[in-house]
Amino acid sequence: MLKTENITKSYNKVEAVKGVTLHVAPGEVLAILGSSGSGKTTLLRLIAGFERPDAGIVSIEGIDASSPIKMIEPSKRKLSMIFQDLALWPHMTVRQHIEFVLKKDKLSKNILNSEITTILDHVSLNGHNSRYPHQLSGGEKQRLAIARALASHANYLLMDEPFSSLDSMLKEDLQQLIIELKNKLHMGIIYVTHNIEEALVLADTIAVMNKGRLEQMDSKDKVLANPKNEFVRRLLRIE
Amino acid sequence: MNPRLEEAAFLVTNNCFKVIGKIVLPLIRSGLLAAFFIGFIDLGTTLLIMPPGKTTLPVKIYNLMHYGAEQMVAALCLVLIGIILVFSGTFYMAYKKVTKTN
Repeated sequence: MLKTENITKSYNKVEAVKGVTLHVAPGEVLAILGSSGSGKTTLLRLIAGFERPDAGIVSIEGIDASSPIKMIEPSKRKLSMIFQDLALWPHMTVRQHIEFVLKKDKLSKNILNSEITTILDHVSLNGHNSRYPHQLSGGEKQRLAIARALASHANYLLMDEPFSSLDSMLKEDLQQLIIELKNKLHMGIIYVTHNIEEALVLADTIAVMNKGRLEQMDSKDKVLANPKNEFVRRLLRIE
Repeated sequence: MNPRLEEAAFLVTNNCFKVIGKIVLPLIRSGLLAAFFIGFIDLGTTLLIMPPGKTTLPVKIYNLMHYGAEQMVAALCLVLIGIILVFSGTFYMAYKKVTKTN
């Protein structure tokens, strides 16, 4: 289980995240919904270990990963992240992206090759091994970002609005891919978005954020049936 | 350089040298090379931005030319060519090695 307890972060006395408590279990998709500037990305960065919290704790599988006095390095948290701009390495081919991640496990050449093939098969990118990111289409870039995240065999996947720039058909394909991977690999996924339709397709649980605070967190059906306040009702466009 | 590229690497490894060698240096190599040539070789820019009391080899050569020390100028030019060849060769070989191991 990945948990945050009363996590708080300020920048220049402006509180970006205010006492947020949430949790996600393996095999569950938690969608964090909120408008721009609501602290969604900061929350993900706190969970990933790129920011130190001012207060509160992030714990992963029962181990404190972040607190004001303790930080475990991002690479040791058994989580992976897909950034909003994907952050693909422009000087590396598709194969080199996956190799860079797998090489930390010091695998033999045969096992490394078969792992690369398996991972690229998962995302239907086999045959593109020697292409660079600039030679890939928008959807293929997203698939490469997903493949890189899968290669680390993480227990949790953080996704920061990864499909925001895609057309609706491509978005649907990739959402389907995420659901398949979640079921196959039993990963816990935190999916940050401002798009209600995306959240409704992917999420088991929805957390609504507003101005750094968590307004409501509950199962998708419960949030839709019983929005806690006017903000949640308006964001989810509930009549 | 986009800091997310570095962060994506730090999600994989906490080895700073690996991140610098495999991600940062290959991405900033053209900027580094340009900075080297502008800062060290381009005379006009160096004259404009050089703080008092400091000098670079090209500025030294320029000043010596003014005083007519031709043999000294020739020797320093040779040194300058040598530095550029050694630097460029080392950088090229290091880059080839990094891309080959990738």
